[in-house]
Order: sequence, then C-alpha cells, then structure tokens
Amino acid sequence: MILYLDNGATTRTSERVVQAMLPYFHQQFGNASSGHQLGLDSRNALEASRRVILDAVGCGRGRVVFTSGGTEANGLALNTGMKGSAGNVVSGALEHSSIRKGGDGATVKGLEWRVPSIGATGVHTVEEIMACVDDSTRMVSLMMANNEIGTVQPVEELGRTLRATYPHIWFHVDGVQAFTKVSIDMDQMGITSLSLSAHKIHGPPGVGALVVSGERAVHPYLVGGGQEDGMRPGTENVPGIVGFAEAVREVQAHGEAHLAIMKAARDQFIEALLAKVPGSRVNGHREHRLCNNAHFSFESCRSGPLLELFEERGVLASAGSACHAGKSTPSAVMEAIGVPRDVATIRFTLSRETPLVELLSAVDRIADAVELARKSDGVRSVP
Amino acid sequence: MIHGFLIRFGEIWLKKGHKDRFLSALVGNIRAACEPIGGLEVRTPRGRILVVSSDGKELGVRESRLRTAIGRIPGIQTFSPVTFCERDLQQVEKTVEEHARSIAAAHSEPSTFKVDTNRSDKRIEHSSSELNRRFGSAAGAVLDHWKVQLKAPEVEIGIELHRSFFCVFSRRLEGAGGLPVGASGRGIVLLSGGIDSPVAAWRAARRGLSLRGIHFYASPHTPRAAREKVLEIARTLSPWVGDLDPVMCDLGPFQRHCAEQAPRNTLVLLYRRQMCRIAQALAHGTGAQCLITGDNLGQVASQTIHNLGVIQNAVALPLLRPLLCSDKEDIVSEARELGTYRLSIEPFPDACSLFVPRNPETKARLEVIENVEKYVEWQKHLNDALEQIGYRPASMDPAS
Repeated sequence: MILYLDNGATTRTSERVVQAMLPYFHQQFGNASSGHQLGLDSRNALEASRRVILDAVGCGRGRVVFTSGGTEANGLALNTGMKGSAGNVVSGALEHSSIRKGGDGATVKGLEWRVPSIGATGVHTVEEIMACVDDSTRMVSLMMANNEIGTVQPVEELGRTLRATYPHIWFHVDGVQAFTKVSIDMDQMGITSLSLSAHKIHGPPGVGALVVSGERAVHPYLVGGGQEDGMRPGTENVPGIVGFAEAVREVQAHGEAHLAIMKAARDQFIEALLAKVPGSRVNGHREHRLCNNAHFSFESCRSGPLLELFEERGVLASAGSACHAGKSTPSAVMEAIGVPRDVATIRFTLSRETPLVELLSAVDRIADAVELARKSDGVRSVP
Repeated sequence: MIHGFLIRFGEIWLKKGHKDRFLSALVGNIRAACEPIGGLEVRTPRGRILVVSSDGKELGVRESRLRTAIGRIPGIQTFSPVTFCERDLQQVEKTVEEHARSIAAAHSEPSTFKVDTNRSDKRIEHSSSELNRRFGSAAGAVLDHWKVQLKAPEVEIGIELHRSFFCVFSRRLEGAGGLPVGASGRGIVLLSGGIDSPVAAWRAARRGLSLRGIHFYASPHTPRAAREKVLEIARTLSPWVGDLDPVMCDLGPFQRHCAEQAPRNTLVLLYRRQMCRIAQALAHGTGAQCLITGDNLGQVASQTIHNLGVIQNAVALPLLRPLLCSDKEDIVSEARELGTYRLSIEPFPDACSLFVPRNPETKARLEVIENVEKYVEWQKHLNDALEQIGYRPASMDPAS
C-alpha cells in the first residue's frame, strides 16, 4: 500500500469534485460568453463559483480573477503591484519562486526589491518586515504559509499595521498552501490580493484565482476577448472553475475538526520520527506551521537516494517543494533559514485523505530507509 | 490531389548480392512506420516502392504525417508525393497541368522548369523525348513566362509510366539516406540519458543496425525520473531507429562494492567495463553482434584514447563509437533534429559519476585495471545484473 505524503505538491482530485465537473464537459459545455441558453448556463455556473471563492476568503466586496493556477495569480499581482518605475517592493524571505523571481523584473524596471532577513524558525516578525517598508513602497508580498516548511507568517498583524501606517500599499498574500488550512479573512486581515490554487485542496489542476479586494483593477498580461473583466482574457475553463468551487464547498462541509485531528497525528508522527532517527531535526517553527506539514533534515545522507528508498518502502514524499525537486541546487528556503547543505531535507505533507494510522506505522520504514541511505552514502568517505 | 508517395532507395542498389534482403527490410520498416497513421498500403511494383492510400483516394490530412514518417526511415534516398492517373496519356497531360498550376501558385516569380518522363512501360509507342515534348508544352502553357532549363531547374515535373501505374510528381524530398534498419545486423546501444548516446543510436541505425537499448542506473543514488527520461528518449527515437525497448539495469550494487574495494580514480573504468560486459551478455542473449556507445574522444575524463582502449578490452564484441571523432556542435545539432536534445539536457546525475573523484584516471593502463579487478567481484555482480534484467544465459559460469 502506497502512503502518499506529498500533498503539498498536489492532492488527489476528490470524487465529488470530479462528479461536479463532468456535466460541464459534455452537457453544459457552452462558452460562458455565448448568448444562448447553453452559454448562459455556463456563465451562471462561473458566477456561482466566483461567489463561493469570495465568500471562502472573507472578501465582502471584491473580484475573483480565475487563472491557470497559483503561479499565474502571483504573476498578475506582481504585474499590478510593480506598475511604475520608482519606489520599492518588499517581499518575504521565503516566497515561492513565482514571486521571488519577480525581483529580477523589478530591478530591471528600476524598482528596488527588498527582502527582510529571517531566522531559523522560518517565521517573520512584523517588525522585520516593517523595517523595509517606507513611503515609497508600492507593494508588500508575503506568502501566508510556506510551500516547503509550512511555516505560517503573521499576515493579519502585518495587514493591520500596513493599513494603519501605509494604507496606499498593495498588500499581496500568496495563500496557495494556506487556503482551507488557515482561516483567511481578507477584509479583516487588510489583504489587497490573494493567490489561490485548486489542486492543493482536492480540486482539479490547472485552475487558480487571484482575489482582489474592492474595486481595484488588475493589469493583465494578455490581450483578447475581454473575459474576467478584461483582466484575464481567454475562454474560461468552466469545468475547472466549477471543480474549484466544489472543492471549496467540500472542505467547508468537512468543518474544522479534522484539521485539529490532522495536526495531532502530524505531531505524533514528528515525535516518533525524531525519537527513532538519530541525527534528525524538524525545520521551521514547531507551532506556527500548517497542520499538514512535517519537514525534516536528516544528517549524513542525501535527499535523492533517500526519496528512492522511501518509495521502495511505499512512502511518497518530496525533497523541498515539488517545483524544486530534480534540481541539484539547494532550495532558497533552506538557504534562508540556514539549513546546512550536506543534509537531506525531506517534506512530508498530509491531506484529509491521509490514513493517520498508516502514517504512524510508516515511521519504522522511514527510519529504516534513512539508515540504509546513510550506509550506502557513507561509501563516499572511503578514500 | 496527392494519392501517395514514390520512394527511391539509392544506396541499396550498390549491394548487388543482398538487394532482396535489404529491400525487404526497408519495406518492412516502411510498413511499420505507416501502421500508426492507418489506411495505407505499401506496394512494390517492380523496382519501386509506393505508399498509397488503401482506398485509392487522396491522402488528405494524412499527407503531412506520412511525409514526416517517411523522411525518418533510414535507407530512403529521396521520395516524392505523387498523383496517380489512368493509363491514358491525355489524363497524364491533365495531371501535369494540375501540378503546373500548383507550382505557379506556389511561386510569386516565374522561374525555370523541366519535365522528365520515365517510360519503363515499353508498350507505350512514343519515345521518352516525344513524351517530354508533349508534357513539357502542356506544363509550359500553364507556367506563364517560365523558362525550360534542363540542367538544375528550379522545378522538375516527373512522370512515371510504369507497367502497373502512371503517376506525376513535382517535388523531390530528401530521405534520411543510409541503409535500412536491420540490413546490417543487430546491436546493443548503451543509453546514458545524455546528449550523445541517442545520436550514436541514430547513426548506427542509419547504417542498417537494428538496435536494442540498455540503460544503467544506480538505485537509490540516481533518481527514478532519470530512468523515465531514458524511456522517453527511446520513445522519441523510435520513429527514426525503431523500438529500442531499453533494458534497465541496476549497477548500484556493483558500484557500491567497487567504491569500497578499489582506488577511487579507477572507478569510472571499472563501471564502464562492467557495463560493456553486461551489454555483451545481453547481445549474446538477443543475437546482437556489436555494442554501440556515444563515446566522443576527449569529451570527459573517461573518454581519453587510453581509457577507451581499456574499456574495449573488457569485451570481445566490436564496440562501435559512431561519434568518436565528431564535433560536439554537430552532435548537438543532430540531437536537436532527432528531438532528444530537449530531454537530454534535463539535469540528472548519472550512474557513471557515482562516487567518482574530481580527478579520475585519464591514462589508464590495462594491467593496472586488470589487477584492481582481481579484488573486485565483477563476475558475481555480472551474474546478479543479468539475473536482474532477466538475461542469464544457461552457459554462464556461476560466480567463482
């Protein structure tokens, strides 16, 4: 039996979501811009989905721009926030590459890209970030929960501070990993724009959204038929968007109790693994982290071979984030929080479908794999 | 208006005594390439190969797929999209005019042309030159202001009057050249996943070798994705070289054993000699007569002329190195053409570099390596590897 612990990379699309999507492929297949009834049905489904998303993130007045996923949503926000050629943009130290690499574009345009430092806990303090913010700051971008180590940033506190001191600043939050695991209230938290992705919450891949509060416009990358208020032209992916909304409804139906259960099981898993495997440690803050994330360093072995050995033992995990796997350079997140280069770094991520009993019984297999990896990698030290 | 392709196979005619064997290999390969497209028939009227629509109708949307497929089959010199017509010279004339019209439409400026009739059906009373004049004036009437030029014209309208078919064509496309796959024997190609070995496979296939692939990985040190990449490379190559069906062999246990037992600067040579031995056993098991690698002289430390000699010495079968003296840029441009370059450059660690120091041996001496091998249980690991890939010949001696 395979134990899938790579839900940070993607989750299984739930049966309920697939069923909700199916009619929009072969029955209600109309183009949402068409004037006939088939088209209007699609439009209605699209608008209903929009309301579900707005409601789920506590955005009383605002718009949802559907995108192909989190990366595109982040790109749209950056494209908007970096409009103009003077001033600075402040970004968190552990941002996803779709934000982090925007720094290159900012520098080209003459904007200053500021990144506050971060400690080994992987959690910023509001003071750290505010020290970078001034009158000429155009945008502050912060990832609500990190995609590798799962640490949760003080978004609400930062949003309130920004609103009190610099209300003109565009506050963008990358909520891809946090959505449905951490409560998000855009109005309360003072968030200007929020990136979301469906496939992290048992929705379909290829769908995401940028939620923008108020009447603010987004500067599009593309030109075309004017869909999504002209902010993201192109025929809407109605089946995908319907699936996204259904995934949100399904999470809401599950309520919050399962999050606490997941967190308790995750904590037990961490404790058991720490006890069983010498030379192991947890990366990132133990409390301020997503309930589904356990991120470890294992001394004296390498991530690649270790993952192979896990897979042989029926455990699927990842080294850092999936977006980063396969690359031989160390991840920027590991560098930022000061994890040494010569350890294996492994991310285990759960979902509501993870069988928690199985999870705890996998600890022995994981420990066994680490021992073997150390043995075979230990060969490297033979002269 | 295109009903099929007329295929010309140049070099095969040079091989007088083996013509039939070569031709049947080529026809078999063309049939295999046509199969996924569907609704096609390969016919071999005397001295010709024709690929035609089985219902006799125009190829339509299949034309471009078929053109691409034929262009990749080794053993074909040139090929032409043809229009068939009835056995009636007036019909042929009309078809020539049709071709002339499409030529005129495709050229903004008048240029030069000629008409070339091949009258292999000797029952036709007119001579070739009479026919050329007749069809030439028909084409000339359409090709306004075009000049006839017999030597190196811009466009050539060809007319085949064969005993069993009449057809007209106006384009001559370059084939892949070389010899039909299978005509020269069988080989085992060592696929590393890098840029070179797929190109080596292509060059060997183009000289008529039918290939089987083998890939060496080192579990758990090399990622699973690297193995998937090699399979994808083999799939990408298959229209060019046929199905490589790579055998996946785990060299990890042998490599760990060597790293414990042998001086580190000899490791690459030990690995590569062992890879050749395993590939040789696979060759014996599958009836292949040679091994093929993507070695390129001096490209990396293991590819010095000294080391290449020491590696060859591990096996009795000829070790072919089609890229040995090629420039890297030429190899890269061939890899791009084959479509494998994009896959090959995905960065994955390969088995060769495992545990290998920065400065491996570049001037290996055979006696030194053979001496080291006395302390390395290569025979046992060879047997283990063959068992793992499911090729253990009955005659193989058990580990001593």
